Amino acid sequence: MSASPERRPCLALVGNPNAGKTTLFNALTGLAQHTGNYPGVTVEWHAGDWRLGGADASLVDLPGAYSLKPHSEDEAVVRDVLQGKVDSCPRPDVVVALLDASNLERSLYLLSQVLELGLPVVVALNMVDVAASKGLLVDAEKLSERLCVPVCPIRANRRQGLEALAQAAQAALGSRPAPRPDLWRQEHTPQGDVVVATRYAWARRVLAGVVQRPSTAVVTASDRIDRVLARRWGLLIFLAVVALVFQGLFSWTQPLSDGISSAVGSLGAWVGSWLPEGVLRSLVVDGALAGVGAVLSFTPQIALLFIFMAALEDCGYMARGAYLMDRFFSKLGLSGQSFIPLLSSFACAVPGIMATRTISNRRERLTVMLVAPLMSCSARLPVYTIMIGAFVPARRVAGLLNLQGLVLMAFYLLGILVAIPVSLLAQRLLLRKAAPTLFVMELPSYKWPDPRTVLIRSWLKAKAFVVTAGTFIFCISLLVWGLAYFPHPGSIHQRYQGLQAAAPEQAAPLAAQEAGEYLRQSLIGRAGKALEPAFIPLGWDWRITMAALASFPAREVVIATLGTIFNVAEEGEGEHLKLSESLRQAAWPDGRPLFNLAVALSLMVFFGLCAQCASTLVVLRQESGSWAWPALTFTYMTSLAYICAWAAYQGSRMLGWA
Amino acid sequence: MENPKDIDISLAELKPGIKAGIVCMECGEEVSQRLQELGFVAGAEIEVLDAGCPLLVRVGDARICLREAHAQGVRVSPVVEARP
Repeated sequence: MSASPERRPCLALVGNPNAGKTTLFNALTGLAQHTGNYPGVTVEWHAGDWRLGGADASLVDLPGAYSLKPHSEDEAVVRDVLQGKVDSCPRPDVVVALLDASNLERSLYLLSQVLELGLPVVVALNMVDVAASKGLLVDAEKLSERLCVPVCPIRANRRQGLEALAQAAQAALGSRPAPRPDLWRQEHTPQGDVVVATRYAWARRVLAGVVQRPSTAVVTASDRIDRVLARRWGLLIFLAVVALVFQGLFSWTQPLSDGISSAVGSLGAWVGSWLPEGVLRSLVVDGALAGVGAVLSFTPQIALLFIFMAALEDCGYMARGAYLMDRFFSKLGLSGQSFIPLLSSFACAVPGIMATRTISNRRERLTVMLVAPLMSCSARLPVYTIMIGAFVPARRVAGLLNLQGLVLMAFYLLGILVAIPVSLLAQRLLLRKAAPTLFVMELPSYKWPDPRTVLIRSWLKAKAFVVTAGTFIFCISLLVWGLAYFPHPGSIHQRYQGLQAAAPEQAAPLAAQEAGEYLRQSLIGRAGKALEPAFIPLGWDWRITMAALASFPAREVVIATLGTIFNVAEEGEGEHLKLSESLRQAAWPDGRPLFNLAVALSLMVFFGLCAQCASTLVVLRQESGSWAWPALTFTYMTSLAYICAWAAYQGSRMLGWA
Repeated sequence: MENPKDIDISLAELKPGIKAGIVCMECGEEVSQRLQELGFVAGAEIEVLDAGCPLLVRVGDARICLREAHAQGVRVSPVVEARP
């Protein structure tokens, strides 16, 4: 790409993972960031505005890389951007190379490749304090003389040295390319290791006299912490931390979610009172506002999840978690890096799938994406609670444990147990040719999480969730509203008006019955009736079928749908209790009760395994780069859900639970 | 680093707490390339911090974890500590 005179200068930030690159980028650009994906690959793209001498320049934060000889999609993107091969991103005018002072030799390995690009280079020397804790003293001036490029010592987390870095970067714009490192040219040798060794030899020559190191390696504070956190009791401590995070996730965000739901509810009631009764009012209140409410009520939980994850990541503990969990995941052909995405999926599969970006191996990443939606997300919980509360006896088992609690736990285990064979099969059958996981991971030094980095990172992710998943949930809510509203015959309304006039004290139950009647007449109600024969083997009638169908875009709507279809009058607090009561009273046309333990189990198994979440499918498309993966996920999960729900119903009938 | 006998063993056999020098990599091109980029280069000092599964090692200035299968391809030569 040629540089036109009006074009804003473009700089690229390059460095090893864990060198503090994100912290530096956030310190330089703040919230003025644009994120997206590189075309064709699933690597995240971050750019921001960096104020350089009175004018804004564009700063691109490239993914962390150990080498420009790519081993992963991330590293391929770094190479391509620096070589100007990415269409959407101009070739940078200046490279800002971030060096980790506490690991200079390896930082210089990457720098030796960057210096060969023929671009002006400015070096930012970060982590000088961490280096000092390892007993390493770095002479930045001498390093600058040796490399013949400006070297600016910085402390990204304290925002120190950024002004000098900006000046150096501005001076480098339009200056001559950095001199190439004087390696002996051995690029043509067939074995890669000669070149690696040559680069390391160069790094050692450059660093001789620049770095003073102690005669024996210092045991750092980070090492001492790891003696506790990464050893014997480490796994227990890690699981306790995880349990605490999830406890916080579910208990602290509940009031906020409830508040948002009720605020949207009151807004709906208020708007409803201004609109004339009819299709417009229903569209705005039951369609649009209900859709917005559904998205927003999940947002606090997901935002808090992002904050926890970013904080654990930033302080270095997440890498320890991956290290500790690797032993278990290696048996499944995965690695410890899969743990966090799968764990996040217990809150919601969308952030879980977004978190797979940290998995470097493509085969592992695709496998995790495939099974993440099986983890029991928080939208499944209401279904379990209602069904268990209504149909599982509250009995004590072995004197101590509550049967209802045990059944709930069993449903959380169900997803995990199903995920194991699915992930093994996917790797055997579909991803045979992809390279298996190479689990070699650096454990960065512990540090205090930088609040700014944590908040900016989680803010951007939460925003992305609301925009991508939110837009989609919103559109789907409108569609489902349409299917559940039309044809809406006027004859029903006339009949109920007559009934209400005759018995004004029965207004609320009559209104509920009227709503139920509309739903039964609607397009989705008819679909339920048409499909009833297919679901009879699962123990379902057309009403349950219809509720399950309406939940395909987003499973959390099932409670509301069941409420409407079984004529539950909406009266706030007691709603759930009333729903349980209505479900117990519901009957087949011949008078047999519709629900029993067997039907409840089959419905729960279906909801536990089925891909009833359009946002998950959209995110899968976005993250895997093709529609094949969401299509596969939908097909396997839905078939599995049907088969297992059938088995659950027939099995429990044989056990006499019907 | 003094090393009179030049005995090299695999990293998987190295006892925790014993410092060693990396001799060479024998674990396939892809894996050894990656390991070298992370600092597993001939001559680098290495020490096993935890011999669990996966292994936790210190290589130069970095703390890296890797699986035993990969550690087996890393040939190291334990440093004979000078007698006090």
